[in-house]
Amino acid sequence: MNKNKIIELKKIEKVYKMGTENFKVLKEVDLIVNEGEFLSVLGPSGSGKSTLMNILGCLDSATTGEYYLNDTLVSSMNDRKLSNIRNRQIGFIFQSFHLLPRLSALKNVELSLNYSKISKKERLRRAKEALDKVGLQEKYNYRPNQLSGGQQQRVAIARALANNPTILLADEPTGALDQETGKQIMMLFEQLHKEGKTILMITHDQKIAQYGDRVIEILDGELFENRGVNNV
Amino acid sequence: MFKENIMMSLENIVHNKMRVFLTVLGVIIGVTSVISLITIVEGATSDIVEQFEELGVSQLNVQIFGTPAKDSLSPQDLLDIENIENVDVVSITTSTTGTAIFEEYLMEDLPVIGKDYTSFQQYEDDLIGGRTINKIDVANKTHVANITKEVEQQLFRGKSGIDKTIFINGISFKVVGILDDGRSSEEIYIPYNTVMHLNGGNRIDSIEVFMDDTSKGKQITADLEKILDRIFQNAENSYYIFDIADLLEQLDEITGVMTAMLTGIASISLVVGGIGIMNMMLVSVSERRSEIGLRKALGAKKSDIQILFALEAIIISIIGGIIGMILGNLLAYLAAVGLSIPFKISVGGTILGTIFSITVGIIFGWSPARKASKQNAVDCLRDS
Repeated sequence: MNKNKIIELKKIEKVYKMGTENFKVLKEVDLIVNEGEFLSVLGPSGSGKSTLMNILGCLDSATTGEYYLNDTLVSSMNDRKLSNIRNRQIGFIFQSFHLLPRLSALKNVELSLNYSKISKKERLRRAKEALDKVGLQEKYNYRPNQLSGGQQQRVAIARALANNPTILLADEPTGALDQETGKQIMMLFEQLHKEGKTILMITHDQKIAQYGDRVIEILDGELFENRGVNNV
Repeated sequence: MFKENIMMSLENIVHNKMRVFLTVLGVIIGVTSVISLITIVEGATSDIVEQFEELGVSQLNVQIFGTPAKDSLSPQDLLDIENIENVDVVSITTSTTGTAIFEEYLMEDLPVIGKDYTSFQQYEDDLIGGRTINKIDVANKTHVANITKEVEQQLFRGKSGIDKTIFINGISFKVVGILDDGRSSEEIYIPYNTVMHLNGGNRIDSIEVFMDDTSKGKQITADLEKILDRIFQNAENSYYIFDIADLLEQLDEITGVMTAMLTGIASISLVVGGIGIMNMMLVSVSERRSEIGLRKALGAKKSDIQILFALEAIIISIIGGIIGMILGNLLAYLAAVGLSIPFKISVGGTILGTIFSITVGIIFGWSPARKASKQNAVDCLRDS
């Protein structure tokens, strides 16, 4: 098991000021994610898992501690550099999809490529390729409201894949879907994992968490390793 | 990227047609009023200027009132004035009133105006029959007259007066030309040096000073004043110089002030329009928080978000500007037809309208766009 470290967190803390009191959402979190891993972070709401996800996704910065992404220290970068990291290295998948309602599936996927310096032709090629990968080759020109929930989440996954990011960050990807559709989405994640994608998924659902090959529990801002596979 | 932003903005605008229309109405009204007012003022001014220019910018009209000691100009005085640098020629006007008789018809208290042939040359345009009084007439002190068509009507009762002989204060004059100056005035014109035959006097009422070089008007006026002051020994109100170029300059100043004032008033409505745009953009920002959050997650920088929203505000105000320009010119055209003044699309007004509308978009779109760019991505994504 001598794989590359994709993510390394060292004593990450996040503190929110609530009036005069400080509220510690994350407490000295250490975490290593290796290349090709499918890691589930399991925790109830209010456990700090969304904050962790936002810090990992470079949307939010930690109060203290160091965050290395691909051996680069990102915890001290400015907006411009962080935007670049989000664009190149991170593929976000949200619970509520966050598709732009007035754009076609293809245009929605292209959106993530708009912020990198890629030619129009190449953007279109990559967007189509990503949609093909999630099984939506027939739906390029459909708008979100013409697609089912599962299909919308597939568009969102295609959008996350289009830039070929270092890591996929999924926040409750099945939270807005029924069980059957949720299962299909998880199978898509498994397939992407088999193809070598590094995935970090956050969920409160024990069953969904089991799709990962490693499960970490988060409780009151602290991480607990949990060799999940035997622990259903 | 820029093209995509514009496409996105246009799509948003189309999607919110009604809201955008109501918002943009303020800008439309603002630009329409700026352009129509400026165009109408410019048209009216050019009409007035044209009328004054017809009177002649190349001449100075000097009314001679005189003083008790010296009530007129002597031949030597006239020579002095003619010797001013860049003065071409001085033409004398001397007038009296008289009674004109033709057969059994009679007109009393008619103004009889004597002028030099240089001045008569200017009446060519007003001539509706016969000829004007010429150099030879003046040189020979010939008893010839030009009469206005009102005088012809009264004396000749609808028949032509040309080549007929009339009597002015008992002295015979041959009518050689009929004038129509458009002012329906009853006047008789004769060579200036024949007026004294009528009343024995030789008072000069006014002179017209013709200039070689109109650009030297100021200098000539100053020289003229110096000479006249010397002639009348600095007596107040002994003469009055009427300079059309000077008048035009004043007119220009007045219209300049008027245009600025009207523009100022009209720009108030542009400010109101701008506030409308700002309000709409602020609503748009809070409606599109999810989009802002997503774009940031996908790698949009603060500046990308700011450009996206600022561009939308600018496009909206430009649309308003274009519609306002069309409406403004249309309105100005209708007004010009109604007031029968010339219509010409105002370049200044159009440029001003364009600059105004873009500026309104930039100024009032800036703060909402900045607000959008400063949104916290995490909050935006969580809220929706």
